[in-house]
Amino acid sequence: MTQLPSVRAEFLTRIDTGSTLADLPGYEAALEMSERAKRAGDFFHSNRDSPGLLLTEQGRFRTVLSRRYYHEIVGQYCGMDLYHPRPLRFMMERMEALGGALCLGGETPIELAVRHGLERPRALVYEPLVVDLSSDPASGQASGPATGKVRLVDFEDLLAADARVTLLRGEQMKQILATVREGLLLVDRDLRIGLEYAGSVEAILETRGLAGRSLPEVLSACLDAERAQLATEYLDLLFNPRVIESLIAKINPLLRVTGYFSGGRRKVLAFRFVRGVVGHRIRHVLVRIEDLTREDELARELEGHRRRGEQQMELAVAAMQTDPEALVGLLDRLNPQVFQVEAVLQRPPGWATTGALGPLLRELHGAKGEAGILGFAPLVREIHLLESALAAYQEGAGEETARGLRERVSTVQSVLSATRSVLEQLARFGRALDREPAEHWPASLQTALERWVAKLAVELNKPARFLWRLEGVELPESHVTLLRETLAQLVRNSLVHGVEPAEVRRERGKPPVATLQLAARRRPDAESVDLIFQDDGGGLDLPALRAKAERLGLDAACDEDLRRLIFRPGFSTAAAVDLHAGRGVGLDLVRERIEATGGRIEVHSEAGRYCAFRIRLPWNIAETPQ
Amino acid sequence: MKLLVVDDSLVVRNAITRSGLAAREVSEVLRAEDGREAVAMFAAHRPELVTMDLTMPRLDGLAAITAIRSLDAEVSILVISALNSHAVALEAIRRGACGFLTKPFTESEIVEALEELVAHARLRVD
Repeated sequence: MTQLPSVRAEFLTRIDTGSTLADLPGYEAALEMSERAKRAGDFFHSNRDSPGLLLTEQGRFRTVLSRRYYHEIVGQYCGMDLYHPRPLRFMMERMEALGGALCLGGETPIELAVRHGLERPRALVYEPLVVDLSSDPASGQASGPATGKVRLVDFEDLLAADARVTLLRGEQMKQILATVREGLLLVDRDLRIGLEYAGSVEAILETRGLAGRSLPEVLSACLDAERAQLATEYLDLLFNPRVIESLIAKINPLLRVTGYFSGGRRKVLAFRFVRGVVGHRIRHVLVRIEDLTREDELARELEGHRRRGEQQMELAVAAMQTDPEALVGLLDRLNPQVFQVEAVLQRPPGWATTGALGPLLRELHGAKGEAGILGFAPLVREIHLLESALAAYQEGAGEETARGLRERVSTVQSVLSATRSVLEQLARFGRALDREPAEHWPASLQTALERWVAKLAVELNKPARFLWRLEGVELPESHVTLLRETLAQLVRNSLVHGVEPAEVRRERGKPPVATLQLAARRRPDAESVDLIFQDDGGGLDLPALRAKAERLGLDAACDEDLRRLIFRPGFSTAAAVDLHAGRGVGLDLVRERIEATGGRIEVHSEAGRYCAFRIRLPWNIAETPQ
Repeated sequence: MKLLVVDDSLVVRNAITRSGLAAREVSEVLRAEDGREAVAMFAAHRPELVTMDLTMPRLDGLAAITAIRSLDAEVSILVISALNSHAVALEAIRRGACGFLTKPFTESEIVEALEELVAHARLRVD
C-alpha cells in the first residue's frame, strides 16, 4: 500500500480556489457499533490508507473511529485484550466524552473546513472530518444520516488541499496585480511596502524591488521633500484609530502631485489610500497610485485648442474690421523685426545692455502704433508685450528675462502666422461670396485716424474728435504708410500728454471735447507738401521738460531747444509705461522716418492752448523707408 | 449628544448649527466665536462633539484643539476650515481632530460629516 502519495497528487490537481469538502477523497467504510472491536483492527490492518471507520447504529451514522484513536486505545496496557472481544461502543466512550466527530456539509469551502477543524480541542485536531452529503447536514449529529450519504475526509488531505488553494489564490493575486493598470500596494504600520504589489507600481515610480522598503523613502526619491514629509504624516494619521478615514480624504496631500524622474521627466500622479481593517485593528493601508500624466497633457492640449480657437475668432473679428492691405503690409514689416528680436537672444547677454536695442525698440513701438491705427487690437497687445519683454531684457539680460523674451517672440510669431491665415481665409470667403472684400473695409487714412482717435478717447476717458482738413489735397500713395505710423504716434502723444481731462478743460474755459485736426497744403514749389497736426490741449509742459533736461544734463538754452528735446531718443516725461505712451521711443522714430525721406518735422506749442506739429514731406518719396 | 460649534463667522456658525440640529442624536448645539470661548464652553458643558475653525481671533483652532484634547481624550473633533496649507491641516489632525471638512462646504457635505462624527463618537462611547 504505497500508492498514497499518488492518490493525493491526483486529487490535488482537481482542487481550485472554489473547491469544497465534496471534492476531497472520501472514505465510506462503516461498522455497526455492536460489532466487536477486533473487526476494526482487522480493517485497519488491511486498509492502510483509510483514516478511519464510520460507526453506525442500525444503519444510521453515529460516530467516527479514527485509525489514530484505535491505535491509541489498543496501545494501552492490555488494550487489545481488553477491547478486541467487546463491542466497539466501549472503545468509543472516551471519544464521546471529548466531544465526538466534527461533521460538515459537502458544500463547505476548503478554507472554512480547515478553520473549523483547527478550532477543535487539541487532542482532536488531526481527527478525520465527517462530510455529510445529504441535503440537510444540520441533522448530522443528532439522529444521524444513513450511511452512503456520509464520508470521512482525512484531515491531512484537507490541509494539502488548503495549501493548494492558498497557492492558487496567491497566483491569482499575482496575475491580477500584474495586469491592473493602477499601482496597488499595501503598507504596514511601519509604512513598509508589502511583498505583493502591482507590477505597474514599479513602472509608475520607476523603481524595482519595492517589497519591504519604506514607502516614505521611495516617495522622497521622486517627490519634493516637503510633499514627501506631508505624505508620511498623512499615512501615520491613517493608522490612528481616532481619525475618521472618510473625513481626512480631502486633506490627502498626494491627491494630485508632480513627481520628478530620471532625465528631469515630470509625471502627474494621484495617490489614494484605503485602510485595511482586520477585526477592529487597522492592519495596513492600501495605496492606489495612478499616473495621470497623459490625462494632464490632454487637458492642457484641449485648453490650448480652446485658446487658439478663441484667438482665431478674435483675430477674424478684428481683421474683418480693418484694412486688409494695410494689415498685410504691417505683417510684412513686423516679420523681420521679430526675427531681429530672436537674433538678439543668440548674442551674448552683455550686448543687449549696451543700448544697441534702441532702434529695434523704436521700430516695434512704431509698429504698435500702426496696429493701433488699424484698429487691430490683438497685435497691439502682443507687440506691447514683446516690447516690454525686450525692454526688460535690455535692462537686465538674465536667464529669466531671456526666457520671458523667448516666450513673447514665439507668441508674437504664432499671432502673426495666425493673422496671416485668418486673412487668407477671409479673402477666400470674400471671393466665394463674389464680392470685393476691400470695399467693405475702411481703407482710407481718414477713417483709420477717426477710429483711432475715438478708440483712444474712450480708453483714456478724454472726449475728443478728429477733423480731417485735407480738402483739395490728394496725398500720394507713397505717403500713406509713413503718415499712418507718424500720425498714430502724434495722436497718441496728443491724447496721452496734451489733451486735458474734460473737467480740467471746463475749468480752463475750454470745450470739454478736445479737437485734433490734420490740415495739408501743397507747397507753391509743388515739390513738397506741408501737413499740420494740431490739438487744443495743454501744450508742451515746458517746466517738466526743463526738469528732465537738467536731470539728464542736457543743454537747453531757450524754449525752442526744450521743445526739440521731445524728438530725442529715450526722452519721455510720462511717469508710467503703459499701452499708449511713456516709453519714449515714439517721436524720435517719427523724426527719423521723416528725415529719411528728406522731410522734416517741427513742433510749436503754447501753454494751455495748443500743440502743433508741422511735417514737411517731399512730394515724391522713392520708397517706404524701412 | 451635545455639539459645540466654533467659528468666528456668524454665517458659518448658523449653517453648521442648522445641519447639527438635523443630524440624528444631536440634542443640543452650543456656539463659540473664538478659541478661548470654545475652551471655556467645553470645560463648562463637556459636549461629545466639536466642530472647529482654524483661523480665529484670540486663540486659534490649533491651540484650542490641544486645550480641549487635554481636557477630554474621548471628544470627537471635526475641523471645518479652508485648506490653506496641508501642513496645518495635518497638524490639526495630529493634535487631536478626527477629521477635516474643507470650506466652502455644501449642506449635504456637512450633514454627512456630522453623521460620521456622531457614529465615531458612539463607537467610542460603546
